[in-house]
Amino acid sequence: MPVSAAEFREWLEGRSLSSSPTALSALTGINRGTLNNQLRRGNVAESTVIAIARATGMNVIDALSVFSPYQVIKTRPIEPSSAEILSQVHHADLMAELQFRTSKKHYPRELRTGIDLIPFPHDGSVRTWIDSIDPGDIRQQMSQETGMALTYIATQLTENKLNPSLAIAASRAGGGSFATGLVVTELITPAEGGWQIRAREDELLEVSDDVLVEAISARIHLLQRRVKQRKEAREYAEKMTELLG
Amino acid sequence: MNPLTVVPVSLMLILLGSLTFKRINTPVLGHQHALQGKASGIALSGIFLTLAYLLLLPPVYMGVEALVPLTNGTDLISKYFALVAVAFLGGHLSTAYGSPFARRWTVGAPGAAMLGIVATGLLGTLLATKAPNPSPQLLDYAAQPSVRLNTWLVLAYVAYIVFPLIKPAFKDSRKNPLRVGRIASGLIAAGFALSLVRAFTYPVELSATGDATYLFMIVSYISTAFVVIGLALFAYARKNRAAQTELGSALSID
Repeated sequence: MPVSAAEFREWLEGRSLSSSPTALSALTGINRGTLNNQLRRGNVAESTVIAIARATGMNVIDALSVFSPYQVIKTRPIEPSSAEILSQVHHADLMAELQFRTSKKHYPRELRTGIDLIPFPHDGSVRTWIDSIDPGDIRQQMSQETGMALTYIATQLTENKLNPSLAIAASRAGGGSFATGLVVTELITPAEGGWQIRAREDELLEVSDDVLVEAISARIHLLQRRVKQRKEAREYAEKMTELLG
Repeated sequence: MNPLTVVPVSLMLILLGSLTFKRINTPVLGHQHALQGKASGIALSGIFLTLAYLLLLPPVYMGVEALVPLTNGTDLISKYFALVAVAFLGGHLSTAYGSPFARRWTVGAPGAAMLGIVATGLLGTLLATKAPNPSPQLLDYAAQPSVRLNTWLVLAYVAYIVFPLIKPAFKDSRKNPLRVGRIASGLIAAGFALSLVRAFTYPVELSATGDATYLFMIVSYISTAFVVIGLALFAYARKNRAAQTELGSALSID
């Protein structure tokens, strides 16, 4: 969902910034040809707006919410919900937390001292975010809002990505923070999206046992599917290399 | 001896010979796997195709000519070797790509019938050709209608075999989980497509004159090279256990 070049020029003028691709390239480090193409076609990528905001010390959410597709961002809280934060914790970290809670003797928490949580995005983290806000028909709602096919959405999720318009549509359908979708899809950083510095670590410590076990159970289900897919892919590749190699 | 024919044939011979030899003689692949295992069809195809090109080298051609009772019988033998190589390849690939239709088409009853017809046609067209002197690929007599038909029969048989395999090879070039596998199948599909194009555009070749005729032959050499390199990539993937190393545990994030 790129922003319109007219709105983009107006926004630059309001900030006393030049709209020439050369000046913007020097400011952001984005290739001049890329900027030129975006302006010529009339569609400026969100990443361009964000790069300019970052380069000029502007708040990224404030910058994005100037443009019509993103004006909704500030209509809801910027900060993520607990479920959204937990969705970005890797299943191995969830299981480690389960072990720490199971036995201080066999799994002392100190074992983890000095070791960070697995960073996100990680394999399947976009899908787990979608699942954490899904009211039941989120994919259908995303498809209806954006006009994108369900198969395209499924492919995007398999590749652990989501374009900004789908991320916004997902947030709208899920009723959560619009900014979190942009964080989860790496368009903006967690700090820019209102995440506390140790949001995931704190959430992991605070989450109740039942929510933790439920989250692990859901992740195990996804993991089973991934392991099965990997097994099938390996068997197919082995068959082909054995027959043709 | 036109270098435009000798050089490509020599290059193809080097490529085919070295890759076939490597396939059979590499300890990891093993001659047992290559000749008796699941990939035997590929090795046999490589051997027959190498022999077909070997016979086209002028010194070899002249040597064999002294032994065969029919003038330019060596060209016929070379083409028979090429047909057998293509049949082996077609049969094997149809199994590998899991296409029963292609299997029946290539090595089932229709495939056998087509091979018989083309083999008979090649003998008939050679007998109908006025070729008193040995000439690899009958190039000295290329203007004769029987030689043109002779050449087209080989192209048509290759096209017949590769036609049902293009789609499965193309599909694999999209869905193979290994990058090297996708490239390999892409090359095989491209090579097959080129062979098909040459067979269908053969009438255009007939109007070509001079050295331009050799350009069309190079299309076939390129298509063969694509297929051979594609198969070599599969051998490379097997040798390096690419499936096991690249598609190991789905749990590890390291």
